[in-house]
Amino acid sequence: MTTEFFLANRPLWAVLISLVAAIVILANDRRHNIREAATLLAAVGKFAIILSMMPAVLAGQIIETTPLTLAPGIALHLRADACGLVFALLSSFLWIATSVYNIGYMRALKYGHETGYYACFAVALSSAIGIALSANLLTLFIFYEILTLATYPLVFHARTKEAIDGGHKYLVYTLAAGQLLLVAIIWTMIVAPGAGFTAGGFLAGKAPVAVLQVLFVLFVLGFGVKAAVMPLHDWLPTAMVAPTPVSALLHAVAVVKAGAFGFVRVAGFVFGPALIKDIGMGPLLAWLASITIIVASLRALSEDGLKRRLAYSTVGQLSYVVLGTAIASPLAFLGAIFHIVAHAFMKITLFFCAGAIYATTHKENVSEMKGIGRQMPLTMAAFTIGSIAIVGTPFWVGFVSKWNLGFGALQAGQPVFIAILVLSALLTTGYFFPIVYTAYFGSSEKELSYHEAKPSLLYPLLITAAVSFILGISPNFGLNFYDLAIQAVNSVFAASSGLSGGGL
Amino acid sequence: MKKWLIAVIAAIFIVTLALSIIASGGHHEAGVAWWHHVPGFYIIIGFLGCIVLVLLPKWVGKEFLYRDDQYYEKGD
Repeated sequence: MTTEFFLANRPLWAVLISLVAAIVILANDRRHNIREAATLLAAVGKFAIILSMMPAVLAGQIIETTPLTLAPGIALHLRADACGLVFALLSSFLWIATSVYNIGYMRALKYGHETGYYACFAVALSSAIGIALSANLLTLFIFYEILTLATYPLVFHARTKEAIDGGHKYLVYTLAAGQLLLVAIIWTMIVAPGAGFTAGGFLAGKAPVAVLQVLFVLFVLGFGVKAAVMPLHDWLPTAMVAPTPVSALLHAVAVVKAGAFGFVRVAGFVFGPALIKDIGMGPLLAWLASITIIVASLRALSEDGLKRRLAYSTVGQLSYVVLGTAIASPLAFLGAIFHIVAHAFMKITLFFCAGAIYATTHKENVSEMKGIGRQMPLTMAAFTIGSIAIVGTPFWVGFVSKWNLGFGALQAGQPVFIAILVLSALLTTGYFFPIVYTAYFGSSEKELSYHEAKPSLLYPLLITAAVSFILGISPNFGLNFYDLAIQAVNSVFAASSGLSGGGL
Repeated sequence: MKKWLIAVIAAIFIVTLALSIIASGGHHEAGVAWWHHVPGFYIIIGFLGCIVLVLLPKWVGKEFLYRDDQYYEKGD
């Protein structure tokens, strides 16, 4: 009975374990080792719980639990399905790498206030997993807002004026978007009472087209801020003032991906691809995403600050996910879901490298990094791998998602978006490869005598770089991200239109 | 390109492809497009893609971009 109870409620335990860790961390303010051990144990425990659900979900089962019912149709409802498990496995796996990196980084730079920092980090991860495993819009919204509040102190952690201003901007953008999202969710609950996420969507025929169009726009605004769709993106480059592990996990994986994941849920499990086509909102969103991809890439070209350049790159790359959901063909949808994974590994590698360089040399501008590749060869090798991968070069994980997105555009009869992908790849080359060139071939005026970062900073970035390669040649390796994504896409399109694949 | 280098690249291709097929346990039933059922597809397309990425720019460079050392002097 006890075992059954534990197994049946695994989605809940996956959310709660890091909340418990947050309490342990707060109770051990002066005991650094216990505080950091709690972080690491919670990270490993969370990943193990989520991983334990993978075989059942791959076999087509859904594990769900409803820990709280407020009223009929209004419940805190958690469910592990294929789509949610992709995001949950990804966030929890990368939390382990980031926890090790976090400890090394915070010890090296001595920011202070670390108890609150680790506690907020743990709460943020709880909410990210809550978002991934939400079974309905209300549950998703609650965790979405907790994520905002938990990450706000992390943005202003340095307590400088710039950091506090960045934090305020972050809060204004995300809370305002949260209010619009709440309106959209309440309206949806009125239109379709008690509906949870349903593969293929549940809104078809529930309201007039004009109402559905307004609802769609509200969802786009609500999730668009965290997904950094232009012109709602401005908080993200400003939030780069946060310590690098925050930028790496939260502003490349958990927070921004919560927005992108929201688009996947709304497009696949609230509206459904067929309804998005019927109400004519797909092209509008696709072009908004395309403009974001190109403009963000152009903006990244002119940034000298490495983290800000990475931030604009994130703005552009997130819109690949949005573009895939807007094109709404099976392959584009697959590309969108897998790009959540691909971008996470590539971008966390790049952020880890930026942090390792900063912790070792205190340099944060690209123009200051002349010759640094000869001093920190492993770090810059990982950075080069991240750059090659994010461009979409064959053999690396970024290629897999972009290949499917490109063919998804063809499948939908919209080849113009392939041109957007190609132009974006060229621009990405334009803003990443000069960094690599400067690091290896640039010559500094001063004699440099740096060395690689310490192991706790170096090993995580080498691991994520290696995964960027492994998933590029075998996208299903290890955690079955590809099979889970394919399963999610099949469920959405089988329900929506009987798997109208379009012949590819 | 030197013959031994081509042989090394071909050997790496065959070994990685074999490892990928063994790791995947054959082919996957689930898929959205035909290539999702092809074992080692991303290794095959990766090698082909890299060959194209190396040879295409060389060809474009030789045919359209390279100019001899006296190019600008000739125009005067």
